[in-house]
Amino acid sequence: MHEYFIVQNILKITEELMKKYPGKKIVKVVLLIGRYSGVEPDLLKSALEFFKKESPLEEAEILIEIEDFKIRCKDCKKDFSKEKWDLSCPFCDSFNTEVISGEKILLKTLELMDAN
Amino acid sequence: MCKECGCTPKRETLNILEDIMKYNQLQAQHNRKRFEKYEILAINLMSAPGSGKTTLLEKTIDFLSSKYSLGVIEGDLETERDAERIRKKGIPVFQITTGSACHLDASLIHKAMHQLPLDKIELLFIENLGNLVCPANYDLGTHLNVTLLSVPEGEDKPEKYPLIFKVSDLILITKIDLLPYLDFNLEKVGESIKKINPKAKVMALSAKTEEGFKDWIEFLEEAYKNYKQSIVHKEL
Repeated sequence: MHEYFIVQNILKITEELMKKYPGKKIVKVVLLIGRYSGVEPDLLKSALEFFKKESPLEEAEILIEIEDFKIRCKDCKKDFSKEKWDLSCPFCDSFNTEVISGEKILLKTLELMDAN
Repeated sequence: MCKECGCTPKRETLNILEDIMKYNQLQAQHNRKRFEKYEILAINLMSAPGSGKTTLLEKTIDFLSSKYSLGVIEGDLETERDAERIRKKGIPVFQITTGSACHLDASLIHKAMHQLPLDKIELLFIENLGNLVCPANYDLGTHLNVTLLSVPEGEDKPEKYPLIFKVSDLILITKIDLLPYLDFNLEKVGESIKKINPKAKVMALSAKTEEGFKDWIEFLEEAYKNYKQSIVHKEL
């Protein structure tokens, strides 16, 4: 259900962007989905395939890239990744850490071509 | 290749890197500013269905309504039932029924704000839909995110649904009057929450026996006091 709302947002952003490119169509869209963004890539893709009709993405190939989950420890300055959402540092057990990537849902690139 | 002359049509790639949730983020920022204009501290209550959000609210109203002006936004898929329960307490309440949507978003809150007497509210509680997944993705423009985890749900929920715990400022373990009957280790849950969100506070209470309730009320009063001070500083 939730993925449908994400799709609506993607369509809205592409519609907005394409106003700047009259006479062009989108042939490929790349989405960057964080591993812990709360979005299921397969569900998002099938929802987008379904709802892209009569939108700027109608003819676009949809590609989803997964952004890795990366954390940095502010105490021992090491970067690490984990199999689950756990922010404790495996090197020094500190909780003073920050997430570098893996949380966002981004529209990464659009590939355009002349509409005719 | 084009059909007419066999040329390869030129393709261009645009680097966008735009946050797909940006419309919700913008609306959330707008809501937050509006809350600040009216000096309202807004609190988003999230949990699975049946964790006791409405009961917590009823009890919280009993503790706070003589001292503060309160308001409530209720979110549910269907029915006005929860709003009715709050209305009985004489508190301004607006019920959002989402139909089939699984979460509240910032634009729904914006619309609900227009239905409430904002100039007469100091603390506004937003009861999100019972769902441990989707609400985590939607900033509503509130100042505090509070997630309830009731003892009968089991101690593994933070590990199973980390995202909602990750976006919370406070986790309230509710229905602790049931602890003697169930395998639920408070300390263990506290540790697993700490790994997911080291900055979150964890409190445990029972709305039925009122055990631990005072801590929650003190937390709210302290948060409201700090919030008011931060607004004054902004104005200076």
